[in-house]
Amino acid sequence: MDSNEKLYADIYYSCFIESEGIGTRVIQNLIDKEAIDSIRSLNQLAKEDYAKIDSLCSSDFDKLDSALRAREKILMDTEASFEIARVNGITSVSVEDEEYPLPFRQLSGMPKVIYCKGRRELLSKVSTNGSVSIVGTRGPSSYATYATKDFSTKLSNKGIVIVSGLALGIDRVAHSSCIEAKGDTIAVLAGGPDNTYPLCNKDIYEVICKRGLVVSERKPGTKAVKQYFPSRNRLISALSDACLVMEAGVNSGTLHTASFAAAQGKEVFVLPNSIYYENNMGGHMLVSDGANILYDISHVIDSVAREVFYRKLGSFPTELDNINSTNSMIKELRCKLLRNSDALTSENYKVLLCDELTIRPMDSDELASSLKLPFSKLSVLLSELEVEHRIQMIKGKYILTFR
Amino acid sequence: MSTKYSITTVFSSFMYGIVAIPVQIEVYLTPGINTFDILGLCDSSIMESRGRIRAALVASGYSFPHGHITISISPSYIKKAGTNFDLPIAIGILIASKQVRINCSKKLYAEGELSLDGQIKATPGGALRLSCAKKENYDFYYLPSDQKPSCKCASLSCSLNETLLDCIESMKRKYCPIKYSLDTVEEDDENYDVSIIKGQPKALRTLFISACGWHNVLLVGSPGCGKTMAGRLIKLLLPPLSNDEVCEIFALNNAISRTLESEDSISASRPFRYVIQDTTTSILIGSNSKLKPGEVVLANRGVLFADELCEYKKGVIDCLRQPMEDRLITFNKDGNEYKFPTNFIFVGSTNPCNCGNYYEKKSKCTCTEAQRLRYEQKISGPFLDRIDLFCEMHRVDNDGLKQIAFTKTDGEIRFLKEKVAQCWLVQKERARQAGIEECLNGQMVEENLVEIFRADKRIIEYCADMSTLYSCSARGFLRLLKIGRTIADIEGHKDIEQSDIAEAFSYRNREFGVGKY
Repeated sequence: MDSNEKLYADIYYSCFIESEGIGTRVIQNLIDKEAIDSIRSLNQLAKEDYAKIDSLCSSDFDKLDSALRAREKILMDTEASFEIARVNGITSVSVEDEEYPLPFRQLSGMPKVIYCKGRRELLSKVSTNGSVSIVGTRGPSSYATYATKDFSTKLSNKGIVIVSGLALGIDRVAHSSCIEAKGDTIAVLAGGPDNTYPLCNKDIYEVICKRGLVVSERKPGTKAVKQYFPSRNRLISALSDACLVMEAGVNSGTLHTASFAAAQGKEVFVLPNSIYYENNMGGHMLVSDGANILYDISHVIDSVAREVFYRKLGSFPTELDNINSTNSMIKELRCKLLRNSDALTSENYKVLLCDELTIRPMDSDELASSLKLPFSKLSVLLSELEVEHRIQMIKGKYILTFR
Repeated sequence: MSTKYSITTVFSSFMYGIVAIPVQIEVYLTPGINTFDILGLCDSSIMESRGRIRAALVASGYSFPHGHITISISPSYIKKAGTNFDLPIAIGILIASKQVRINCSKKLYAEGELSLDGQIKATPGGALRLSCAKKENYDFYYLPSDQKPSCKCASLSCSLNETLLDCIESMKRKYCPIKYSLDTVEEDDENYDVSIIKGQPKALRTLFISACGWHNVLLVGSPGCGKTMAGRLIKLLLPPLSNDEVCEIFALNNAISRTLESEDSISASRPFRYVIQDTTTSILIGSNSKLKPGEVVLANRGVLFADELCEYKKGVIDCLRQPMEDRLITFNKDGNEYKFPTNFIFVGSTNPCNCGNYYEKKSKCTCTEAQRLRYEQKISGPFLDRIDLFCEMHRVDNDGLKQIAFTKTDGEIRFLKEKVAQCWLVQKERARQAGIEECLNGQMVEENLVEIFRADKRIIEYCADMSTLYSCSARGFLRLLKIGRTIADIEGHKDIEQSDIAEAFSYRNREFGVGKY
């Protein structure tokens, strides 16, 4: 399957479940009972494939039947949507793909297909670098704006991905200051990924498409409708390791995001404000419900680092497969190092450096003597590795970071 | 009955703190009961000279005149001290008592201390006084022969004499001054080997960069890892002083440290001042009221090495900030401003914590986090901000010891030293082309550094990215650029390259006064 076919199949899937409101449970049942191979082969679904599945109830059968009857219309929708996607350079990521965000796999009720525009690699960066969602009101006070800018910039500088909803106010500030700080940002839209809402955020939307990532669970061409916003909010919180609520009114949609985050087991941080300030009552309610108070950036970074660390531990077995191939490569490099060290590129040296550091922390002098490298060359490599967040110095010795 | 008694005038000078002031000495002989008065706010060192002069005159075979002897030293409103008025007063008395004749219209300059048997001895600060006297343009100069180096420094033509008798006898003959040419020797440090910091390539590289670009250094490491040795190494890497610099430094150091000139030739090695931890502000900076600068001026054009920086008394380190920044100190006395150059490389060393083992693998650090923070805080942030290169050092273990055994070090010092000298030439040439005062990268204060340093836009962006990543100040950004430029000079790059900045980045401050995030 090439990427266009994948995209087509994914859009077909979206149109199919949307047409009759078929839930993911039904689709999962179809896959489990081998009626279809994967969501991408939904196109080949026929009535006899699912007729015998006993775990489906009668209303499910009705929905599937009517969806099959409306196949012509679904195909038309798919064509239209596919065209929009092609023109706008929108791609899809489904649960079949490796890039499908790790948090989505671990949580229930996440969409099986998401549409993206921009740098798709940010989806995996979310789990490797950690991410923070910054949400809040559309009409923030200057205090909350200032704090948003501050936290967004500092977190971006640490390499943490900033997730928000591309709304006015806090969302906008969070995205724009992250981009200014040359950080990675993900905007989760309520409508299709081609559909900027509100329209006045078009400028920043364009920038995010180039330097960040725009994500949506709706197929291209979908208009942003009021009822889509809460489900968009659950994606924002799902994509992040911690949720920062900068300012929220009593009936704010931000409270949805916060409660989704809490339900998904993410830390919620609320920026404190005056109790006489009406527009932050929602935030104060969250605090009284047990949310953390946001006053020190290091608490957020600690919490994200912890999540990243646990994920790293959890994913260790899958990495074991790679270890053998890496080992043989390192052996080869070591031979080269002994015989003719001129042939080694700086990237090769970096691999060797990281390999040295897997055993124990080492200082630069030890590294220089073990790699037989003059310090002037070594220091360049070490600095670059540090900037790439692959190593760091603690107690005068270099160690590998968990990222 | 009154006789007209003539007044004899002889010229000399004295040290006011370390500023030379020319004086005029008048000798007035009148008949009467024997007295000997010296006027002009003289302290006891000058009053005592009466005994020395009397003895020296008699021992040299001249007669000490009878009657009132009145000596006036002007300007008489400044307090004076020092023993170098002995010779001019003695000469004045001899001329006034007509035991020797000179042309009255000529101005005679003399200085020197007399011993009881008529030897003429040098006094400290000669070079400064002589350059001051040279400006006054006297006709005759009679100086102690010990002061030959000072004459060389001031490039003064003069007559040097060992005893009062020689001096007076030569006055009777035709005045034939001799001009001595400046010759310098460089101290021989060949037996001092670079292998003492083998196994610590980072430290060697740091000191090398520091010497190449005149950057301040802080060495951090456990006790016994060779910080002090490493610090001393930098002196050997610096190129010798030029003749002008030799004169400047010899003159000031001779006056401040009150040492007597001994050898014939002057050392061209750069000063290396070692400051121990119980030093005080007045030792470092000097005394304003006495107009006497301290170590910072003695270290001018050389190295100021502060060992165990964290053990210094509170506030003592911070008084170095201004001399390090402005590269001069200003003393104010009696409404006058006196400026002294303090253009030194600062090399500091310290332990990383109280027990010193924070960086070590084998011995465990016993300090608590709070203790460590308290220890680090002894060096203030603004001071750390003036340090360009930070280097962690460790005790050399097995691998390092092997390296010491296996690598040759013959001539490495000489090789590095030549490299430093080359770098200096490149930097001075660049400064000349930019039309600014000749200076090294670390001394640059110009605002359009980016242009002078030939850093293109990509490099500036890379530099800015790095400094924001680790929340450096604006000064930190410039520092990164300066060190990058020095490394580029070492590597022979015309424009700064990304790898130069990357290397510069590895010498930043990581522990001291830096929060964890």
